[in-house]
Order: sequence, then structure tokens, then C-alpha cells
Amino acid sequence: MLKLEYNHTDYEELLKFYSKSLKTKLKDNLLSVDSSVGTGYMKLIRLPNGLQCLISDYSFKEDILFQRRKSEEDFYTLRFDEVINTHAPNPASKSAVFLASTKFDWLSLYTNGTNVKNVNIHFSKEWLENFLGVEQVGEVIKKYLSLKMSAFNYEPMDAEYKRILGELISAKESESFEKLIVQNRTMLLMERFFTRIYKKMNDQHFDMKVSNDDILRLQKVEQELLKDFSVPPTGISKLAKMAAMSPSKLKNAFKEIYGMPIYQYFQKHRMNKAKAMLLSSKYNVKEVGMEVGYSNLSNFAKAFKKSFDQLPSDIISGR
Amino acid sequence: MTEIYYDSTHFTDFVQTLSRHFKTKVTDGQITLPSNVGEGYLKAVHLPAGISILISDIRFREDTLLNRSMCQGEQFYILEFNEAIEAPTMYSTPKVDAYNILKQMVLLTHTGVAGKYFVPANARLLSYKIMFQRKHLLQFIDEQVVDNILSKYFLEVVQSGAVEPLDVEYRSLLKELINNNSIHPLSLNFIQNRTFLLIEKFLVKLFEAKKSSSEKLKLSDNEIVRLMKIESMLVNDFSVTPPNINYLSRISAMSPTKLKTDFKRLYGMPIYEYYQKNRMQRAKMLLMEGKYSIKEVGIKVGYSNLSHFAGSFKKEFGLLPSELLAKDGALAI
Repeated sequence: MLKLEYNHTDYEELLKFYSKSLKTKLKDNLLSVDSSVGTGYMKLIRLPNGLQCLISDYSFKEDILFQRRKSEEDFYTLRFDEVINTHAPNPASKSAVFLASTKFDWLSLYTNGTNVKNVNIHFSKEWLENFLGVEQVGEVIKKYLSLKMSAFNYEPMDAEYKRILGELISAKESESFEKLIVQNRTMLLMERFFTRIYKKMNDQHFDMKVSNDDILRLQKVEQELLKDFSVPPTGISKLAKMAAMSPSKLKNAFKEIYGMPIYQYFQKHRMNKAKAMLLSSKYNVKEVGMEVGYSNLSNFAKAFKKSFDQLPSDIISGR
Repeated sequence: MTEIYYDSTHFTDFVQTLSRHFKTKVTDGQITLPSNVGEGYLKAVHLPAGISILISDIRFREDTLLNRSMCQGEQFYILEFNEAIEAPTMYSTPKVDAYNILKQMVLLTHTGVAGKYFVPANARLLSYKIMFQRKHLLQFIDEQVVDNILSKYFLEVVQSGAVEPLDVEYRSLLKELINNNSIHPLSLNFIQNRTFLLIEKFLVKLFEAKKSSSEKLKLSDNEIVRLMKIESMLVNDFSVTPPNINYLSRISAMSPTKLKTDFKRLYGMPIYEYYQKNRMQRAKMLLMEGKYSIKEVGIKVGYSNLSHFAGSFKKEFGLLPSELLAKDGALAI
């Protein structure tokens, strides 16, 4: 398995790192995957307005794991992914649009032969603040994002996104105006994504009345919850005391801000950690189970299967 | 005839000048025409990218002549899109050399020379104007290409005052801009993105036309104006049956054969295909607004049979109306 572990926040540096790790050529911000490892390319376009746009279309002969480690620098990536698993009995295509932050660990694993097409739009927190800052609803969206960031913001990739992406990818055919076309499409994608986030907020009656104080206290609760999975999670009554809220207020406010109930949130992150550890190949299933607080391995396997539809041992044998 | 003089390189100034002239107040860069002058509004917006734009939907009671004097110093380009929705058939043009807004649908001018714009009384006019500079193009396009565009292409377009029609894409962008500009949650970005799309489209079209300039349009301005009238009749209302060729040929005072060939030359496709494409674009826009059911949209664009509608839609966009907004399988985390 090819493994790339990084925490770069500049895509030019990241591309250099990819090129070195994959022993493959990089010229004018265009990385061409060497035929010994796979096919395809990754192309970075730096836009005049400060956005970085990475367009990729590749498949590797081996399984490949991209593991992003969280960084202190605050950057965002708006990702448009389409993954086509050619080995599946009926080649299935999966696609999604989501916003990721460099403040969090992140991993993508693609089995060999999987065709990955994506467009990543990368920008700093300051950039986003300027972008939203000119709008009247900007503050509301920023507040929403700062809360929802750890639970990723998913969007379905619909026909309109696909149309814009198609125009973006074919911009290279128009030599003189490539940058203009790419920037215009990139901005349309950004506009559409954030508009839809705003609409979603309104649909869900996102309660902006949760005070800033409440939010800070909820963030503490969230940190406490995810601090150490090897010990049983802190009980609701203790968390409620920490947050200086009643248990029922805590439950409601937590769900409002993080999008799911406390225990479900805990469980999701616990399983994500387990998966990342398994993929790192440094630990066996038992060690991972212990680390995330399961003394009974079959319980662990069951919980893991519930989250990812495969057993921990499948991950080990798959890599 | 009302005459108004101004010399602005910024639409906010222009709106100020008009407000003094009409003795009305500016709020948020916007004025409403007082009823003794006419009706409608003009709104200036300064975009974060440093470009200023003017959106307007107006009708003057009297013939109006806008006189822009020449500006010294840095040159500004003005790209404008005008669409007359209710135009009087008879009006007398002034004896001065002026742009006739009813005919100049896509118009490029610059502030280095004076310009006169004639707006006939009682015409309802939708306009979108963009004022930009060389430096804005330089951000995206190589200096050599920019200078080529400005010194050769732009100059030719400005001098010839060539008549360019509004096509499907222009029109759908303009519709979005004029209908949604203030209700969109990210309104400034919304306006800015579409403004850049209009500039992009204008440049790409110009560039392509010049590359294949051997294929010159041999149409006179008069013929183009008649064809534009035909085009606007076609796309005006899709809920009723489109006028047939004989009727159109009478209206345009051309033989059916000449009408068909010239229409294709100007709009790049045969009449019915053009009609159908616009119709499907309208359907798509309505669907994406999310306010109407598929059935309602079908009826609005003239299909009483829903499966015919679905079939035509699929032919144009490769997917069914129901698939347009459908979600597909999301990636697992």
C-alpha cells in the first residue's frame, strides 16, 4: 500500500511532497502519475483572487492512503469527489461535496484501480472571512461553520455541481482565458455551496440564540468527550456539570450544534480513530480495540462493522 | 426631449447625477424614478473586485438623451446589455449621432471618447452595465493577449458600433441578475460572479469571432435588428404555441428561406432548435428555483403531456427533470 502522510496547508508544497513520495514528475504545478505506479494527473491552478484549485484524475495500481494530520494553521478545502470503484461487481460511482478543515485529521483510502476524480478548492480562514464578510448573512454562516466544522458539511453532488465542474475541467482547452474560466467556475462553486449551507441552516431552524457562552462551554464538553477513548466516556451528569447546564439542555444544545446526539457523536469519532489506527498498520486489531475502549473484541468488531460495513480484520487484510 | 449630461467613471457618481437631475433621493446606491419622469429604478453596486455595475429597469415618459462627456486620464470600458421588453414601434430618433439603446443590445464603449445614448419615450428597458479597466483583465489574462484585445478587438467593436444579439446564455444570466440580485443570501458574490461570467463570455465570443473572421456576417444592421425582433418573439412566452415560419417571415419582411439561413447565421442554429434550446433552458431554470413541480414547469414551457416534456428535457440535458435535483450516493466518511 502507498501511504502519504502530511499536514501541508499550501498546495504547491503538498504537490511537491506528493511528487517526491510517489517518485513522479512535477512540472509547472502539473503532476503526472508515473506509469509504473498508475495513471492520471494532479494539476494546481493558483487563482488571482488567492484561491488554490487542485484538479485531479488518477488511479493507482496499489491501494493508496492519503492521511492528513491536523495542522495549527487554519485552512479549508471545499472538495468535490467522484470515486469510481472499477473492481466492484457493478462498478459503483460515489460522489460527494464537502468542506474539510486542516484543523482535523482526515483520511481517504482508495483500493487499487479505483478511479478518483476531484476538484479541491483550498483557502485560508482569512480568505473565507473576507469572502463572507461582504455579505449581510456572512456572520451567521461563519458562526455556523465554526460550530459544525468537526462534523463535516456534506452535500450531494447534483447535476448543477456536475455541470460547473465539467466546465471547470475543460477550461484548459481555452488557452488565453483558462484562469478567468477556472476562477469564475470556482467562485460559482463556492457561492453555491455556501448558499446551500445557509438555506440548510434556515430549514433546520438552526437556533442562533445559543449564546456564545454556551458554545464555548459546549466546545469544552466536546473536547472532554473525545479526549481519551480507552476509558469509558464521561457521563451526562458530569458533562452537564462541566457545561453548567441541565442534562436536558446539554443534550439539546449539543445536538443543535454538532448535528447528532452526544453518544452517537462520541461513537462516530471513536470508530474513525479505530479505522485510522488500523490503516496505519502499526497496530493489530486487539491493540486498536483496547485503545478505543473495547475489552471485548467481538463487541468491537460488531461496532466497527456497524459504522463502516466491514470488519476490522478486513481493513488489515485489505492493506 | 430630456437631455442629461454626466462625466462619471463610476456608476455611483452616475446615480448621484441622475438623482440631482430628477430631484430624488439615493438610498443604498439606488434611485426610483419620480412619477413625473417615468417609472422604475437604477441601482449602482461597487463590487469587491473593484468593478462597478449598474442594474436598471426603467421607462421614461419622454425621449431621453444621455450625454457622457469624454474623461481624461485612465480609461474605463463599459460593457452593457440592454433589453427592451415593451418597445414602441414608432419613435423618432434624434438628429445627433447617438447609440440607440433599443438596437444596441450588447454594447462596448469606453470613457476615452464622448458618448450619447438615446432612450425613446415609453420603452421599458432592462439594462446591466459593467465598468472595468485594463488592470482587471490583467489579473487573468496574459498582458500580450490583453493588449491585443484592447488595442485591436475592442477598438474595432467600439468604432464600428457593431450590433450583437443577446443569446440564450446572456439572457439567462441577465434574468438571474435582474430578478434575484437583492434576495440572494450572498448577493454581492452572486452579482460579482455573474458579472465576471458576462465579461468572460463577451471576451471568449469576441476572440473566437476574430479567429474565424473569414466567416464574416454579411448581414446589414437593419437585417440584424429584424432578426432580433423575431428572436424575442420566439422566446417571449413558451406556454403558447410558437409562431410559424410564414408568420415570422412576414413580420421580418424576409422570404422564409432567407429568414431561415440568416437566423442560423446570426444565432448559430436553426430557428426551431434555437427555440427548443431556450425553452429547455427556461424549464431548467424554473426547476432549479425549486418553487414549481415538474408538472407546473412542463405547462409553463408549453407541454401538456408530461412524458413528452421529460423526453425533450432528457434530449437536451442528458437527464430527466426528476433526476436534475435528485441526490446521489454520498461517500461514507
